[in-house]
Amino acid sequence: MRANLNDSSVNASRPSATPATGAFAYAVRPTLDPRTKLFLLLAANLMLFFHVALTTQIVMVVLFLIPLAAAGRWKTTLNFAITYAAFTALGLLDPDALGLPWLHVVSALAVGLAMMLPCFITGAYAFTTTSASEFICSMRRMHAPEAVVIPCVVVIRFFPTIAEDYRQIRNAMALRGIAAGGWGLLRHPAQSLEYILIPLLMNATTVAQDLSVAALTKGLGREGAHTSRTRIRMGVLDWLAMVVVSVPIILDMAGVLR
Amino acid sequence: MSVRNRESITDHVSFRYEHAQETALHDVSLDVHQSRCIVLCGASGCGKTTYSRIVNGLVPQFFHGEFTGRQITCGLDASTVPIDRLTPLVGSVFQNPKTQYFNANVTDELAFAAENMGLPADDINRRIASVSDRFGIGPLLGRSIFHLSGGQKQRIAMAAASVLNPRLMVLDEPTSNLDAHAIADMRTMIERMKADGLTIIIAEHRLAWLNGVADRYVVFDGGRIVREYEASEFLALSPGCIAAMGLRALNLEPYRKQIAELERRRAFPSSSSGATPLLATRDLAIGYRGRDGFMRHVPDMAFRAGEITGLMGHNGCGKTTLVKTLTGLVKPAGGTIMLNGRKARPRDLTRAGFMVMQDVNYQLFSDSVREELMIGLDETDPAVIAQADRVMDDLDLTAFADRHPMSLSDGQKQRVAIGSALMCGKDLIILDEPTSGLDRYHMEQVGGLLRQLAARGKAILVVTHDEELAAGWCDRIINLEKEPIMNATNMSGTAGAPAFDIADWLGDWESFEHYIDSDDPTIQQTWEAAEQAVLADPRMAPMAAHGIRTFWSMACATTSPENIIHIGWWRVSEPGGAGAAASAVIRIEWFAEDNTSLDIYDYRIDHVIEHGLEGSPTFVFTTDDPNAEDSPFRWLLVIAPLPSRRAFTKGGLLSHLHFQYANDLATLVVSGEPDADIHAEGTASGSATETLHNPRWYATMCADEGTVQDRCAIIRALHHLQ
Repeated sequence: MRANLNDSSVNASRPSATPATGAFAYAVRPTLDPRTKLFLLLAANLMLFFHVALTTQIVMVVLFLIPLAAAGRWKTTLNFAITYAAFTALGLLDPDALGLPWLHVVSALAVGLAMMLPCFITGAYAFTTTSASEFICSMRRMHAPEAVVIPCVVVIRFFPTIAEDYRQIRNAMALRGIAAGGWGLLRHPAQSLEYILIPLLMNATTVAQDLSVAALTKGLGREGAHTSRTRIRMGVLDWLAMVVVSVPIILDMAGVLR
Repeated sequence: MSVRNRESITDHVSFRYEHAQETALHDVSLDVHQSRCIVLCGASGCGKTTYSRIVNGLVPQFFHGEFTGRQITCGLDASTVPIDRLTPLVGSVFQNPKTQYFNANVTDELAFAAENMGLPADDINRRIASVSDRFGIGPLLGRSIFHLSGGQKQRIAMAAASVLNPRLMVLDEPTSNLDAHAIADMRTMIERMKADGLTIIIAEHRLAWLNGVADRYVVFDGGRIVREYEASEFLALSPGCIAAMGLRALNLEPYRKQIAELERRRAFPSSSSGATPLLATRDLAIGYRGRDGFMRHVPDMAFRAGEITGLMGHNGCGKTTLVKTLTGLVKPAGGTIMLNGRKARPRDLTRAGFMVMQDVNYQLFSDSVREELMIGLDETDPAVIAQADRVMDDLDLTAFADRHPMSLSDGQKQRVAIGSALMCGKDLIILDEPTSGLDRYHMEQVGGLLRQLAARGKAILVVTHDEELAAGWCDRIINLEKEPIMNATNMSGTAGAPAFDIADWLGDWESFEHYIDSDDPTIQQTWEAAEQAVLADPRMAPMAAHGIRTFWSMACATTSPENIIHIGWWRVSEPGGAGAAASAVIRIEWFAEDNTSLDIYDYRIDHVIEHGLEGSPTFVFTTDDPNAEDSPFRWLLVIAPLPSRRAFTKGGLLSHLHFQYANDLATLVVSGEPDADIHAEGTASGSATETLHNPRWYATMCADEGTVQDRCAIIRALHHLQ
């Protein structure tokens, strides 16, 4: 048993308060209701659609990163934050003043990517911190059609396997001498993309078939009410999150933040 | 016999897959009676998998095509009734552990089928608890499925298929990707299911593990049922007859003997047969750093051109990491690897070696076979084109030169991958499980291919569980499982090893089970509060489905498979007295619940496991007492008491410790690596060289002192209550 140790001087090498057995041993990480996560995703897309001002963008990105950090995904949060900062900085450069005309292209690219990043952030948050069953339950509560629910759940299921597949493919490429070495990918970008994507997608189709079969034999396609073991409830924090995230967009549309 | 119900009735069924030329099944009729275990066997493409899909309704509802005839499964017409009506009646388990589960979390996966059926939440929790009891997966609940071993994943698949208490189980080649231990587990699970009255239909290539479990064998060929055999008839057939039917051997003993012989034949690198070996290792240590890192030493090995070496050992003993180290994909943790007599860096190894992965799809990058062979080379050079033609000819791929690699069969894809290795001029070719899931004919084809490559002067290394391939085609075999992994430097202890201070241990200890069973009202109240807290948290709720105390009494049981007497107390004292061993550090007297003394032994510290129970450094005690030879208490794994008994007197929590015991250390400890491709998060069993079978399931002793309040404090702390 891992009891709450008041006396920290005793045997500091012991892991901290987690009860004995497997079921208890993972910390329960606070996350928002799946519906709120979808709302955040929607907000990110609206940002893109309405082409909001830079200050609004920055505010929104910070807001989006907070729940991600709260869910314990520090490394991901940091990666996204640094990436966003880098792209924004590149976008702010004035190529003419620096006398580097080619920087226009880089700058434009950076701006475009920076605008897409909020969608990635909220997407990563929604799909990697929600379990498939929570997602299915909340989508069904919202009366979303099955044709929307099932693909979303399959995406959730796929994300963890993609990193693994990517590593295997890179190993295979190294053995074949394709795009080898640390900078190999950058030196032949188009070729590398092709060599990575093709096996990834081919593998994905096999996996997709196996998954569908597995899910069907467990009754996923059944008409009628599906229940959920986990209780999904919209709490105060969820409503608050939705309101807080909407405010900058509304202000921006009203012209206040421009 | 005919009084039994027939769970599955197949009446003149024929089926052809959409877009296929030939019929997959032709006029098949078969009756499967209740509580029988039927094995479907035959060569690849004979129709056994298609038949299993007909039984659970996947054909024709998911796999479309022309279907004629009737299939009645558990009283329902499987071809017309929607597949979810069959879900509560038929449980299905498939071949690939990696793609069978829809959820990422074990508990979610177990709940999945029940949730889809619309059962209420507490019913679901109850079913999860009962299924985890039956299949012994309690320690795995709540964990991420991605981080489990193949055998554990299949066990979860079996459990998930049983959640709705089906009447019929359909298994499609469930052991293809498993090692010998996992296969033995699978057999036990099937025996138990049979005892529970389930009807079982298994489509399989590897038949040996079902000897004694199966009741009937149905042999398919070309989409028809050729013959049905009763188990006794089938097992009496000669090996020649079995081989002629395209089936794998029923009796693996001769193969195992041959493998043992080949293991002995391992040539020592120093006794060279003249030529320098292509690849040789010296004092090689493999592994990786990090929280779940592990490291192990491997014996010096040498690979020569023209030799086929087999690499065997159960999953987790380091085969994958070794192979990655030999091809330079992973840096060695120590020692050197020599390529043609010269010390080689990982980059050189990657250039010289090639690995045909178990899943060849990761290695096929192009639109056509010809293009695939010429990747990285100059396509316009006539010499290169000529070489590609030659290679395709040698490997029987000329007919497929312009076909897309993904349209080929698995065996053909393997050959394309090998072809690309030959084009690159690789001299060391490693194959990872090339024959998993293959029937006899195709296995022999792979064997022939290996011989062909060896004849061309390549050094071949085959990683395999397939005893028939290893015995029949390998020149020698290395079994990593049997090699010692600890050397002198390891034995002396690691930096994090705790010092042993007898003062922390002295005194009487009481089993935590007493707290669970206590009649004291204050303690009972504390348990009630704990139960409420657990029920309120949805993720932990299944634990309390039968009552929180039931859960804890299971979790902290002091009984073991070898010992049914509950341990009530320990008395720990200094070792000594007549005939005491010099190295003994502690004396423990074991008492039963009614205070009878069971045994008293002096223990010495054999070694320390760095990441043992709950991930903490764990002492491995053993006694050399001759009276302990059959005793279940001979080996003892314990974590040092926390907090120390002295700290308790200053107002801390009651001191307590955790332990496991067994007559043989191998029952508790596994030497090896976690699943090598995946770096686990939060698995307590990632370790240097040794891991426990069950690092989170152990008995607990609390210091026998203090008041009722102190006991309540422990119970509260355990559940994070204030």
